[in-house]
Amino acid sequence: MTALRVLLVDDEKDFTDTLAERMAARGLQADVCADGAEALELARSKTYDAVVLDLAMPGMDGIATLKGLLANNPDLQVILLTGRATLQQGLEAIKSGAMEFLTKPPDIDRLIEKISEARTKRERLTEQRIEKTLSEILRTKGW
Amino acid sequence: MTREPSGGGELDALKFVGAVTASVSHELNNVITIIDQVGGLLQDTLAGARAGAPLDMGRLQSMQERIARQTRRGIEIVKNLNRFAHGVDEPVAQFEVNAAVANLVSLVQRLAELKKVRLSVRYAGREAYVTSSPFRLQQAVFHCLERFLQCAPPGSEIALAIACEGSSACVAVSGPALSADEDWRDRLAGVMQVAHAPPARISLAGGERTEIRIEMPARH
Repeated sequence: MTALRVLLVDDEKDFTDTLAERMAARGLQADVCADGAEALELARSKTYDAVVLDLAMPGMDGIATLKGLLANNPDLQVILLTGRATLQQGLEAIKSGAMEFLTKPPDIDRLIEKISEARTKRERLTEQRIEKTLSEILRTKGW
Repeated sequence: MTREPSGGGELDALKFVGAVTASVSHELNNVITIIDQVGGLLQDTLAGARAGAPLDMGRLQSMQERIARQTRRGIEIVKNLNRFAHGVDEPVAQFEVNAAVANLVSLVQRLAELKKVRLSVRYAGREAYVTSSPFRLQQAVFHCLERFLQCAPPGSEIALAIACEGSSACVAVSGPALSADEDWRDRLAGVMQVAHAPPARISLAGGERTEIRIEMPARH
């Protein structure tokens, strides 16, 4: 199995750099960036099992970035991180399409568990999409 | 145009304190999160070393620097918050205006950063002491910042300027043009109505940029 690939998005560089190192030590491949615009660009050019995204960032915030990421790739799994743990925010995050909503500081093992779940979920969604496309092709051909 | 003060509201004051402490606690949580993760990385590194992996001194150095950087940041945040909290020790006090505004800016800078709005401050060339409530001045300035941040587009600037003008100390807050109704101006005047302190004047000038001035009698 190939290494889990994750994109870490947070304007706190010390946080993303440290988290990336910890993930690398556990066999993951982690890219880092500091804002939503860069995250959208990276996610367009590379395949990630999950994006770990800070909710409060300058400019494009976490929710806006989440929506942008999913608009380009509906199967992408996004885990939102926040310092505030309100139920309302959690609900908004899930309604906006986030896979999970975790509070800071995150527990690394739980985070990696979620990234692994994200891969499974993304692969399943991609398979379903392929099956649906194939069925439609077969149907149009009358088979 | 000036308005007669109409009394500051307790709810406004509480919301101001809430906004400041929410922003500060968010930043402090970021500091703690980073230190927590670096601690975890150190733990990972030690586990690796016990299993025979060589210790990379460069990486250890980098971890130490991150901890030092975030600790310094945390200390600064707490110092600023403490200074702010003591602003209500006395209902009326003699205080230095540059320091009071600098304290407020340090606590709310991140709110402007989140909106990608630049917050600039020009301090008076000398110390400016007034007799009033530092908390109320900070609250009034905050309300101005809050109002500008509601409509300031990313990339724009909100400028604060402190000046000693004759026998007054003045804090001017300017930003993109905004419409301020009478209720809002009365509310601001009410915030600056401090019992047993010389009255402050609030004036508002419109145009391409809006400027709000808070003038207080200075003490030299």
